[in-house]
Amino acid sequence: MTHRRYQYLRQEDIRRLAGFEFAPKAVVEGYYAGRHVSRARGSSVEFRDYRQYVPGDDLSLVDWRVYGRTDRFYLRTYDHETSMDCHLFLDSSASMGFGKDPSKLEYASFFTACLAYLVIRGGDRVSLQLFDKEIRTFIPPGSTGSHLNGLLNLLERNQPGERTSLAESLRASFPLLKRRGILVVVSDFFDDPAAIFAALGPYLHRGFKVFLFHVLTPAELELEDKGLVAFRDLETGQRVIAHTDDVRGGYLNAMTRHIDALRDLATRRNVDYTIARTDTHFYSLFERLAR
Amino acid sequence: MSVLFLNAVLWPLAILVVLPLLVHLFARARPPLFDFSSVEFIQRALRFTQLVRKPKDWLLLILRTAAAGAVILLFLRPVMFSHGGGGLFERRNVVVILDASASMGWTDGSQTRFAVACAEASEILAGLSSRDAADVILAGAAPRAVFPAMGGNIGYLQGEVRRARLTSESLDPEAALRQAVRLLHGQEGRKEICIVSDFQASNWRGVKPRLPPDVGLTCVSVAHGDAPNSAILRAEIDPARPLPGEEATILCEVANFSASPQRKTVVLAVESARTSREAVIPPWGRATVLFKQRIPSSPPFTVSVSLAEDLFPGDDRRWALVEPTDVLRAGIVSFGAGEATATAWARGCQALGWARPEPLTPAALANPEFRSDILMLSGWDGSEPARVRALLERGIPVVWYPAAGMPVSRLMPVLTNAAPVTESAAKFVWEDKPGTVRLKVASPDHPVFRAFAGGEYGDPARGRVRGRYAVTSSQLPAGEPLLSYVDGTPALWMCRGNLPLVLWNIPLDEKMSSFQKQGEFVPFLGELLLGIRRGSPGAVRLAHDGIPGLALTWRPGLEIRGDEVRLRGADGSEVPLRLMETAGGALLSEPIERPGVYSWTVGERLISREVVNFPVAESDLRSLSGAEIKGLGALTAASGRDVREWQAGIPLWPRLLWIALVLLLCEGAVVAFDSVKRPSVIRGDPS
Repeated sequence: MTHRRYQYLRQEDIRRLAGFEFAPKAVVEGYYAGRHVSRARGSSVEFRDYRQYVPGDDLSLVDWRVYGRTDRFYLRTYDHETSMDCHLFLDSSASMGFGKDPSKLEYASFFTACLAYLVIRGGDRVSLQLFDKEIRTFIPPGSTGSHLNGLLNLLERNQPGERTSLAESLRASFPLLKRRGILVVVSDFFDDPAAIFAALGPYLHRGFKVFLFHVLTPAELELEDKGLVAFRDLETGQRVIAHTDDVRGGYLNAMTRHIDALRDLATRRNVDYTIARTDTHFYSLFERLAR
Repeated sequence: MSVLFLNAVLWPLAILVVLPLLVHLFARARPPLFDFSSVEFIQRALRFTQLVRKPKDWLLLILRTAAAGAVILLFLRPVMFSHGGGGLFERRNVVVILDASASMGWTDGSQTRFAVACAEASEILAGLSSRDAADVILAGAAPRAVFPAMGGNIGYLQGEVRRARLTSESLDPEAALRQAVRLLHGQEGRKEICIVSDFQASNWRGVKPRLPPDVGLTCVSVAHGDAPNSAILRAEIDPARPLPGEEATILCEVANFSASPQRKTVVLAVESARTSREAVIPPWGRATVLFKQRIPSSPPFTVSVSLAEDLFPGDDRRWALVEPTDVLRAGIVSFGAGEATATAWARGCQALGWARPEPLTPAALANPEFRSDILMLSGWDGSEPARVRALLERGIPVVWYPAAGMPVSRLMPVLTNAAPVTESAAKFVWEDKPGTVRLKVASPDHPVFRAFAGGEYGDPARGRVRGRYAVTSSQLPAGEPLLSYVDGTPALWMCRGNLPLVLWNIPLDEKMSSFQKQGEFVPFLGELLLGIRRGSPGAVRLAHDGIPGLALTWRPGLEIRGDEVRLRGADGSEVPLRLMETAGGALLSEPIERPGVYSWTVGERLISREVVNFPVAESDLRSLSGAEIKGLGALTAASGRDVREWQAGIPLWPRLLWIALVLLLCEGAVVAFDSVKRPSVIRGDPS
């Protein structure tokens, strides 16, 4: 499927991903016949139920045996199996540039690239949206190898941009998604949790299965000891002078409250929320997607 | 209180105290840049923590600055002086008065007060430097200074203090203070007297040290707690010089210096015989135990009275010397018209056999070597009463036949210490009684008349008198009449009180009286002479009772060479003697150290005995209170170490080191407390 070497989809990743399959248990909409169950009824081998005949129905679908027993016309209906659309939302704000070996953006790009590969390998379609305070790039869903190449090239060219506005980006991108499917948001979520879930509301209402991957570095989770430093915000450039020992407690409390708020809202809205530490391998995240 | 810095040259280092402040300020001024994903949470944390961080920052800054200050001061080596100290570079002159009196032998716990006092004195001396001068006075009955003048050999003084021995002497505090002031007189620099003593109340109460204004006084008391004690305070023979065969009384006074009653057995030892009596002594009280002892016709002998030994054994034994006399020496002095009476007295004494009349001149009354046992004054007009009073105070009974016309008021200066009063109108006025007057016994129960109670010796009042002094009982000093005239005029008046004085109002002139011609006169005179010797406390003073710490003296007669005389203690040890050229060739011993019986000998021949008894003042071991010691005008120190620190200063560096360590510990605790309060990981972090 891919022949050239990509930074975020290495050959060893492809080999290891051979054992993975991206198959979330979600009901999807699709144009093409595929592996995923659709709400639409159609032709397949999976029987669903019976319904009464109405004029105009295809007579080939009438169950004549039932007619022979009951003298009434009933039609057999079957589940429609279709392909899935997976929409990848990758936060590319300046704050995602934090961290080294890898940075949060690099870590998220690795995960996104592998996920896109898995989706396309499964015959489904994948779209990619890069955003910071607004949508920077949107690649519509596709399921071909060239589509994957395009995604990977985009990821490699991607650089941290401006400040995060996840809620705004989600609101702006909703009209771009024609069919419901899987929504995977990879971000550091430096936005108001309530605003984020308000923006996710239309997606959830429409039936999207939403996965949130909260990418954080160990330095953000523990606020390592740096002594007295001038913290410079990567997004706003604002400086705050503080001793890490002095603010660690308050910082970790605030961070905990932020994560708890995200987790609570996610639980309530039946959204899958996962913290992705950059010091753990992103393969572990695929297990979350398999649930 | 003052502070001196030994390393004052390092004072510029004090500027380093601002180091923590500078570090604090500079560290805040240029912190390194740290790119962070979002400072929003940092700002939230700052808003929360600023409320508590600021006071904590100030606290830490104060603690660190104080610790730096303590460390800098530590290197400056400060020395603190208190209680008038501060003369580190000033020469100090210190006289240590070390109480070596007998009361210091009380054992508080495991060691005596004297041992504690020696240690404290040594500690005081150890605080002196090579440029200081000191001396040690061992205080007892007479103060003994180690150096005749202030000296700088502190080591030698400490050695002398170590070698010092407890004495059995009583303390003379004022003499010790006087000697200390003498030693300090003319010295340059600071002058100080340090008294290390138990401050026994019986010795120190009432002492008012009169010190020059530039001399400081410091007291270190080594007495702690109660010191219950019982002691024999007195052992006396009554009469002091008994006649052979006479039954003498041995009085023993026992004291209880404790708050609980004591039952004690008092043992009298005469030669090899022992007699004991039980005595119950009330708390803080005294009891007198009497022993009757028939005096044999033997040379002088000693008796000892003892108690069972207690924790303070020195005063549990006492000795008395009994010197029987073969004859009673009656010194008779005749003044003018008293010649006839004096002659009758002499004749009566002569007839007694055991009494020897010794006619004396009035000048003999002033002789300190007056040796008569009884003084009989006939026709004395009361002039120069002090001489007679001195003899009365020595315990010599006086029989006084006044001169005619003598004011009655002249009796008072003889009996009391009162200044001579204006002579009253009442006088010993002669009154003729042509019809004669009879005498009668006025106090038949008096011991003088005991021998006449059976009647075999007749009527002691028999006889008639044709003249007498017309005085009444009310005009005479307090007393009782032994004999009186039938009309009530006192004939023989025994003055009441401590001094044995008998007024004789019976003329013994043959023309005026037949009293001396009666057969009863001689036995009555004998009973009178024997009787008035008894019960006189002054008689005790006739006994040779020495005091520890003072020398014994003895003047050899012409027949004895001074260099042949030896003085030996009861254990046979010889006391060094020296011949005094100025005192008429008297032999003077070294100060006596221990109580006991001492014998003057020539070769193996005993020529005299003397007893040295424990000083009574040392038995009551109660000490002055702290307020009373302060009342001496002195600083009171708990120990010699305190005095040493006052003098040499207290090096503050150990305390500063502790302070710095405590401050750093506090700083660490504040930092640690803050870090404990701070969470180190996020709650609920799946990692």
